[in-house]
Amino acid sequence: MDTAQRNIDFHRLVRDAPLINHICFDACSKTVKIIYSSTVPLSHTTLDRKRVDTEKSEDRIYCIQVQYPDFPLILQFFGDTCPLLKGTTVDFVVTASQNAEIEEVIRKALDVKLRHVEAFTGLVNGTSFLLRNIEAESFTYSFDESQKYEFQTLNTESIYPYLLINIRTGVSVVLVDGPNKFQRLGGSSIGGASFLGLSELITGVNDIEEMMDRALKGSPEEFDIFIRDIYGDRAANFNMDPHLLAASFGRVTRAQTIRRAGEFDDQSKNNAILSLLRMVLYNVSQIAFMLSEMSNVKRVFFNGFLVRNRPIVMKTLSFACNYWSGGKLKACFLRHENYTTGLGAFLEGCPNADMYWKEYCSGSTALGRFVPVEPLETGFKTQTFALKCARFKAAPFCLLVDKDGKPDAIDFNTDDEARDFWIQILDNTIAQLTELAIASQSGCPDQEDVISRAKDFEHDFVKTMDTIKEHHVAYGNSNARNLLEVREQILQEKGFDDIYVQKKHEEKLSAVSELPTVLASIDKLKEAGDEKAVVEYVSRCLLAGNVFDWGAKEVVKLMSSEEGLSFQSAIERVENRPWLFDGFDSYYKKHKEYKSVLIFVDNSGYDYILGVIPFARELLRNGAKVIICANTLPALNDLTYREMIELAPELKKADADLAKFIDSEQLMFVQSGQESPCLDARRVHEDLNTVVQKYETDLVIIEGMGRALHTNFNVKFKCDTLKAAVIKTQWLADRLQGKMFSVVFKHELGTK
Amino acid sequence: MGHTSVTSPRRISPRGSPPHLRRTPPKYRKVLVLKEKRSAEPEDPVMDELLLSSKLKRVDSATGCVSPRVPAVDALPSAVSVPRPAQKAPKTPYVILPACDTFEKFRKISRVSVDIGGTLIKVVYSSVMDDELPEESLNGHTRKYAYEDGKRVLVNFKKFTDLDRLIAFLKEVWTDRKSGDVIHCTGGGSYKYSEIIMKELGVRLQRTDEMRSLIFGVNFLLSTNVDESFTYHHDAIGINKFQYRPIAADLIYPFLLVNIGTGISILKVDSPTSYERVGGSSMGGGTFMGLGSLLTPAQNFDELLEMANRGDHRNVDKLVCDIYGGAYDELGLKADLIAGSMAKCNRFGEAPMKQTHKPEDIAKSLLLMVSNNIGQMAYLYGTRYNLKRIYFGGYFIRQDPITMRTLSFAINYWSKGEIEALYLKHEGYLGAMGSFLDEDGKLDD
Repeated sequence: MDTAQRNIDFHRLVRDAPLINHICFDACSKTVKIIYSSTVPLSHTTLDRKRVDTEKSEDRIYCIQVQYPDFPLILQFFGDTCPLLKGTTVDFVVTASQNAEIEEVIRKALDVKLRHVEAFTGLVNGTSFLLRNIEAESFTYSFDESQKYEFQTLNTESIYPYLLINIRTGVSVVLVDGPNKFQRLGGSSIGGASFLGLSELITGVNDIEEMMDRALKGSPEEFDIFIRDIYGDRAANFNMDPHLLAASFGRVTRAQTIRRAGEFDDQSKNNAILSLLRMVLYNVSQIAFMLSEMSNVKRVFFNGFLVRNRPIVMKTLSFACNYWSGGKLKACFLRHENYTTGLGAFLEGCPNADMYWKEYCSGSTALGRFVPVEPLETGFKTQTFALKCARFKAAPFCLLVDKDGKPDAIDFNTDDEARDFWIQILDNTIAQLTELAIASQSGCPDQEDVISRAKDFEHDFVKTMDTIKEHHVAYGNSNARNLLEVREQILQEKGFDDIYVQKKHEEKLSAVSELPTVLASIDKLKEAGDEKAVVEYVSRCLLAGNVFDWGAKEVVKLMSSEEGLSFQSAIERVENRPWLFDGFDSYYKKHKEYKSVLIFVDNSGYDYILGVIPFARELLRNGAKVIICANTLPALNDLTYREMIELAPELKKADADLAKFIDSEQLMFVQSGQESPCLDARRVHEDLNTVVQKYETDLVIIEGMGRALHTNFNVKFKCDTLKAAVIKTQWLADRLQGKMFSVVFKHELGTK
Repeated sequence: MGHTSVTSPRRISPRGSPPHLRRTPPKYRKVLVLKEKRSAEPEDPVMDELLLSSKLKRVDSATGCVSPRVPAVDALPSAVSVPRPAQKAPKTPYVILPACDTFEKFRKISRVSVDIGGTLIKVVYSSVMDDELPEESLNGHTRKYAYEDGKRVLVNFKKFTDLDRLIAFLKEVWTDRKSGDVIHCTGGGSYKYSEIIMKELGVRLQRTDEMRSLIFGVNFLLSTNVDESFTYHHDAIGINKFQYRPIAADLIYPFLLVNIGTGISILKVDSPTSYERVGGSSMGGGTFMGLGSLLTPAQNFDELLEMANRGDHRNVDKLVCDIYGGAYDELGLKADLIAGSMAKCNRFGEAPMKQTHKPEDIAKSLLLMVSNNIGQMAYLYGTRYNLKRIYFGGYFIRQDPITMRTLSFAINYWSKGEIEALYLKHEGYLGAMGSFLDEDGKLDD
C-alpha cells in the first residue's frame, strides 16, 4: 500500500504537533519509537458560556511507534509542522552501532543536533516511571488456556525491588532496587535473536509474526523428549510430571534416520518453531527465577521485542515461572513495555519527570492503550501512548491498608454483565452529554467549532466504548471508574473542561440561600437536647444532599421535571431506618470520640452545601477538626477544590459558627488530586497525605455513589470510616438487594 | 551472555595436544565414526587415554596443596611403555577395586550393571586380572589392590548407542552368568527395556534408584580414585591444561553435581544418602545433538563435536562488539562476549539474498550456547545453595576442550573466580558405577 491509499491523518496521529518542544528517538530493529512532549495552553468555560484561555498549561508526553518504511513520512511531518524543534538538540537512544544512517536522516529532516542517550539507563528508568505512575501498568497472564489478564497498579514504594528481564538479541537481567539504583545481575546469550536465528536456519521462516502464528499451531511432541519418553508411564513414581520437558530437540537423534532441516513439511516447521520458543523461554525464566531467589525479589518483569504482548510468549513465560518457583513467582508484563527505553531516555532531561503523570487514554490511537493479539507490525498501525503531567506528586493515601489494592467494587474484566450494563448506560447518555457540552459553550462566537468539537467527543467516546466492548482489557482494568474517567478525559481534550459549570452555579446559589433554614432546623433540634436526633437529622441531610446527582439518570429525571426536586422532598425520599447498610448506631456511639475527620465530598450544590456542611458543622461543634477534600479537576457535577475555596466566604456569611470554624482553621479544605467521579486512593495529592498525617485523622468519611459504592466499598482503612451514599440506579439497587434510594451508611472500624 | 571461545593458536587442537591426550586425527576419526554407524563398537580414544593416565599435576581441592607431579612425564610411561603386564591391561577404561571384604565376592561372581539413558547406554562390569597393572591405573592411590592369590578385581567401563549391541556384548563377556544372577540396572530405560534384557540374557533384573546410583557412583569414584576429578585450564600449555583435584574422603560433602545427559539434572549432595534434585534444564546433550543433527551433516555426537572444533562461531553469533562497536563498559561487558547466540542467522525479513552458514560455525555456536548455559545454570544453583565445588557428570563433556573451556569460563566469569568447574574422568559412568555398587535395588518381576 502506498501512502495515498492509506490516507494517513498525521494531525490525528501526532497530537499537538505545532507545540512539540522536545523529541527523542529510539530506533529499534523493526520500528522507531518517537517520544515527544508539548506544552498545551488550557482554556476554561465561563458562567456566561464562553471559552477563555487560562494562564495555565499542561505538559503532555506522547509516544508513537512507526515502522521504518513510514519513518521518513513522519519525519517530514515533524519537519514541516514543528517550528519549536528547529535548531534544538534532540535525544537519540544508542542501542546499536549501525545507527549512523538514521541519525543523518533525522538531522537533515528536522534541522536539529543529536544527543546520544544511553539505552540501558533509559530502559530501567522508563520501566520504573511507568510502574510508579500508570494505573494497571503491570499485568500477569494466565498460563492455562483461559487467556486471562490480571492487572496490578503499583506505587512508588511497592515497585522496588524488582527484576527486569529484557529479552532482546540476548537476555539481560537487571535488579532494580530503587529510583536510579540498579545493577545488571547477569544475562544469557540465548535470547530473542537466538530464537529468530535458529528458527530461520531450521525452517527458513524469517518473519517473527509468522513464527508466532506457526508456534501456535505447533506441537512439541515431534522434537522434544519428555519425562515420560525416558521413564515411560512410571514417571509419576518420581514426583516428576510425565509431561515435563526433559530435553529440547532430544528426539531428533532417536529416529532411525535423522531428518535434516531442509526436508521439513509445514507442520514440522510449526513444531520446530514451538520447540525452539519453549527452549528459549523456559531457559530465560529459569535464569530469572534463580536470580529472583538469590536477590530476594518478589516481582519479575519480562520485556523486549520477543514478549510484546504475544499471548504464546506470555503464556509460556508464566507457565515456566510458576513451575520453577512452585507458584511463588509470577511473571509480570508491562502494558507499554515497547516505550520503556525511549521514555526513560526522554525523561532524563525532563524537569517534571518526578511529578505524577497520568495516562491520557483519550490521546491514544484507535488501538487504545493496548490491544492484545493484534500484532503491531501489520500495515501502518502505529501505536500511540499519551501522558499528561498532573503537576503535583502523587502517593497512595496514607491511611490505606493495602496500598496496591483495587478500589473498584465491581471488576468489569470478570463481570461481563456489569460491563455490558455500564457501557449501555454510557452509550445512552452520550447524546444528552453532547448536547450539554454544546450548551455549556453556547456563548462562544464560533459555534461551528463548538459543535465540531462536541461531535469529535461523541465520535471518540463511542469508538472507545466499542474498543472496550470488543477487548475488555484494552484499557487495562475496565470498571465504572475508568469508563467515567475516559469520558471526562475526552471532554477535556476536546476543550470542554467543565460542561456542568453553569448548572453547578445555579444549584449553588439556590443551596446557599436554603442553608440558613436547614441549619436553623438543626439548631432547633439541638435545643431540644436530643443529641441522637440531631446526629440522625444531619445524617439524613448528608444522604438527602447526595440524592442531587447529575450523574444519576433517575435523579436527573426528577430534577428536570416541572416541579423540580427540593431539598426538603429529598430528605423525605431518604428511607427510614433501618437502612440497607445501617451503621448509624455504631457511628453514633463513637461520634464524639473523633478528633480529626477527613471528608471526601461528591457533588457540588445541595450535596455539599446542605448535606456535607451541616454534617461537618456538628462534628466541628463537638470539637473535631474537619478537613474537606474535593477533586482537583472537574468531573460531572462534582465539587472541585477551586469551587470549594470560592464558596468559603459565602458559608461564613451564612452562619456565624461556620465563620468561626473557617477563620480558626478548624475547618480546612484540601484537594484530592483526582479528576473523576470516583476515588482511587492509590494516587492522591501529596498535600492530602501531609495534612492527614499532621492532624492525625481518626475518621474518614467517604460520600456518594462514585466514591463510596463504585469504589472503596470494600476498601479497608487504618482508621474508622463512614461510607455514606444513596443508591440511585435500579441496577445497583438490585445487585445490593435494596431498592431505589436505599441508604448505605457503613461505619467501619479501622484495622490498626 | 556467555564467553566466546575465539579460535586462537593456543586453542587445543588435535595436533597441539599432549601426546597421551591426543585426539585421533580428524580423517582417521571420520572413518572410525562411519564404521561405528555400521557395526563397530564405539571407541572413545581421548577419554580412554585420559582415564588411563595418572601423570597430571595434583592440586588438593580442599587445601589447595600442590603435590609434585609424578616425574618422567616426558618419558610417558603409558600403557605401551610398561613392558609385560600392560599388554594384558584392558584397552577400555577401567579402575581397580581395592582389595577388601566388600569387593572380595567379585573374584568369584561377575557383576554387571547398565545405565540406560535417553541417548546412551553405559555399562560397568567386573573382571578378574592376574597380572600387575600399570601404575597410573591406580589413579594415584597407594592402597592394597591385590588379593593374597595375586588376583585383582577390575571394574570396566563401556558405552553403547543401542540395546542390541549391548546385549550382544554382554552375552560375549558375561560368560559365567546363571539364571539366578541379577543384572543391576538404572536410568530411565531400565523400565522400558527390562523385559528384553531379562529375556535375552536369561537373568533377573535388579533396578536401582537413578539418583541414588548417581550419588553412589560419584561418592565411590571420588573417595576411591584420588585422580578422579580434575580442572581444565585453557590458557595453560600442553599437559598443564589439566590438573587433578584430589579431595579427602571426609571433605567431599557437600557439593553440587550437574549431570549432563540428554537433559540436565542438578543435584545438591549433602552425604551419600542425603541429596536432592534442585533443578534441571531441557538444554543438554540432547539439544546440542538434536539441533546439530538438524543443521549440520554430522552423523553422531563426536563428529559434531569435532566439527565444532573447526568452526568459528563469530560468523553466526552476535558479539557485544557487533552491537555496540566495542565493549559495553557501562555494564562491564567485554567486546568478545556473545550477546546473542545464532543472532546473525536471522535476516529480519530484510535482505532477500540467501545467506549460507558453514555447518562448522553452527556446530561451534551450538556447543558454546549449550555449554555456556550449563555453566551459568551450575553457577546459579551453586551460588544459591552456597556450594563451592561443582562436579560435572554425564556423557556430554568427553574432555572436549571447547566444552570444558566454556563451562570453566562461565563458572569462573559468573562467580568471579569463587567457584571452580570440576570434571570427572568417569563422568559418563556415574550412574552405572553406583548401580554396580548398590545392593539394595528392587528385583523386577
